[in-house]
Amino acid sequence: MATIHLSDDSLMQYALDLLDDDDREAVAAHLAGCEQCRTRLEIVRGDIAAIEQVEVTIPSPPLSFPVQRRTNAWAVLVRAVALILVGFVTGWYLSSQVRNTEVVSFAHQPPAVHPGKAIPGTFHVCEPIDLR
Amino acid sequence: MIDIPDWDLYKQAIRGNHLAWEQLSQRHRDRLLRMAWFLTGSVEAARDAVQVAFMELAQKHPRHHNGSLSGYLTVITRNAALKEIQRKKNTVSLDETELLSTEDNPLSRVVADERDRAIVKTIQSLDTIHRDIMVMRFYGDMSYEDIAEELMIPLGTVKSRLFHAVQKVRTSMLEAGYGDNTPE
Repeated sequence: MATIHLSDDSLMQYALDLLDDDDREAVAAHLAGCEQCRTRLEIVRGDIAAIEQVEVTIPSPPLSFPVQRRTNAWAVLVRAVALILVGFVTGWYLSSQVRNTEVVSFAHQPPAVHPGKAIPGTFHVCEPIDLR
Repeated sequence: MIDIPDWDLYKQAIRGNHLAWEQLSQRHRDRLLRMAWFLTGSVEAARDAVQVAFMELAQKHPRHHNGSLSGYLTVITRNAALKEIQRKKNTVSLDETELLSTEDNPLSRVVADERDRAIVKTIQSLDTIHRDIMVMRFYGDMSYEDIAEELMIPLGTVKSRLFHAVQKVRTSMLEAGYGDNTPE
């Protein structure tokens, strides 16, 4: 009786670990008793390894570590403290300047109107009054 | 020499240990460059994508869940590479095939071995959905489950696409006389 060997597809699926448990066990059982299929499996595995191990040479400069966040956080903190200090000193200086300045008030002085002619919300020229 | 786990190296790096950062980047850089190059077809775009990925790693402070740092880097590098492709498409108006055969980066300068060049050409001739999965699995070192989650497709679809991609590349290798790579 002629021996039925495994197909190339089955060998490749076995080599790539693509089979489910039942099929994998069946293939493994056949391989255990068939030297010819074991030899073919080694060839398939060699071809797959040749694909996986293609040598590609791409020179690349070292990948240096970028500036860390911790450093950035410290920089932000220092800037914030500096800004607060500058604001405080500026405010203190300005307030001391205001204390030394004479305050002049320019309160609104309504124009004189003749008591008898005043119309609310309007201004008008007073009639001359004879003071003699 | 003790092989320090990725996440431990990363923790040391973000505390200011530059040697840890250097070790971490050296551990993953070449693999990520290769993956980004397969996706973009451009050395410059691959470098930019990897640079962006490591920048993001340093600044976003990802948390260590169950995922690997390697997988995280793969995903962010792939996203950066896809953005590079989109940027090129928007600015130069090329189709995808032209993108993958840019004259300023001849294949022979990047891939020395003749058989490897034949493999690369076949991978680059795959349609996007097959190439993407093959690159993520073979050069991005991602599990089938992670790929399915990232692309939001069923696990069976991932496996089926990978099978067809490998089958096509292998057939092409055999036709070109590069088959029978029996391990020593």
